[in-house]
Amino acid sequence: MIAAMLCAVIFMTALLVIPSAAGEETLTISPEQQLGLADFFFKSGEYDRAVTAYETFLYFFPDHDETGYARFQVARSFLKQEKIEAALERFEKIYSEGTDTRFQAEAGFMAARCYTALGMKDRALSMLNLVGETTDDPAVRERIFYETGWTWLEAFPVLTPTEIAAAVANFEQIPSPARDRLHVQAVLDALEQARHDDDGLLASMKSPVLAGTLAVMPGAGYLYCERYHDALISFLFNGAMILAAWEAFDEGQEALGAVLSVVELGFYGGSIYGSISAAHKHNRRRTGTFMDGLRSISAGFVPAGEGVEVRVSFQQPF
Amino acid sequence: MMVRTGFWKTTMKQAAWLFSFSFFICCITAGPSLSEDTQDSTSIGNPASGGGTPSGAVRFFQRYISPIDGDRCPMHPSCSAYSLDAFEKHGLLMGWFMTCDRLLRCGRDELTLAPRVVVDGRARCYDPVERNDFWWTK
Repeated sequence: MIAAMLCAVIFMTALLVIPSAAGEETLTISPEQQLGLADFFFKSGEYDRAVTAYETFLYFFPDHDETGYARFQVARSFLKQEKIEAALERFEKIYSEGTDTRFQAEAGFMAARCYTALGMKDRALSMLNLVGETTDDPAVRERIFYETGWTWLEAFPVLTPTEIAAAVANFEQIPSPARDRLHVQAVLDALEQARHDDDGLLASMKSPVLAGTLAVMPGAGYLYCERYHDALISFLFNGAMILAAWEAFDEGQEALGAVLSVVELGFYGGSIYGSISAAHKHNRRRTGTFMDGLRSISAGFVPAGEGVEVRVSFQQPF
Repeated sequence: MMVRTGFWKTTMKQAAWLFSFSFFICCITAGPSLSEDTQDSTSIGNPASGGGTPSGAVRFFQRYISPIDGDRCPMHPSCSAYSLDAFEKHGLLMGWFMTCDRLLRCGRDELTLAPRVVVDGRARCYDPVERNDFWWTK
């Protein structure tokens, strides 16, 4: 009986004590832990969760010293997800507010990069100029020349002598130590080859105007663009249709001749259109190949705050 | 002199035929033009997308001829789908030129130049309208 009562007392005590003990256990997350979690997500490539974690940090610790870093990382997370507009908005805000000088110039560079990705080359160059006007730091000025050079190369689907010359002019202003670190000399050599070699990029470009003009003779435009099968088919088909229309009119079958002529006009115009298009596509393809090679021998765009580690390409797949 | 006169007469006659036929084709393919206030938002579109247009002929091909002919186009989108896109996007004249250009290129050099995509388990050559009008539409 005593044992039974003792057991009952112990049981009741346990029922009362355990919940109260569990309620006293509170989890406290420090700013460093929250930031560490966000960085973990960022490094793991889980950028959505990284944004949430950084935003949580900013919400709970708005006065912490690392808020500038967290805001910058939010913008970078958006850029990693290719949400360019969202990233641009945040980078511009960080740059214009300038509350954390550690990230102001970086934010300017990244905003310029976003403009380049959006095809707004002039805005990108303006942004880089703006960053240059507000700093005397030699390292930042080197970065400006470097990023400006790459902006000239990355912003255009087809490179012309103008873009290459502008890129070269910027790369040449980077002093020697930084040139070695960023492999700028290799880029300059490649650009010189592209400009002046007989088999360089510019020499291999096709003129759309010339392609269209040559296409007056069916097939010649495709032939100029090195599309030999298309050229043969275009020549044979257009030739046969023109001959058939001519014969139809000659035989007094005007209706048939007119039908053939209208159909042939479409194919004739189509072959001229296709020749011009082929020249543009050829140039775009050659530029893409050249840029891939150029990125492989250099650092490309320097990632923010991480040195030369990652290449960022905004070239559209083509 | 008589020969020259006869030649010009014949040529003028041929030109008149050609002009008349072209005008006729343009009229029947232009489709009905409705004023905006009589259309709802879903029916507003290029005249080329109407039923009595080249798009209608292409749809006829897709519905009745292509199933018999078989899925043989090595491109993606297929030539008929490309044609519909071209008419939809650029209207009658440029749509017609782009369709003819595509028919000339289909299955030839483009196969080695354009990227490949797998559609319905089969590798095809990726050649949408956007890859052929980028140089004048943007």
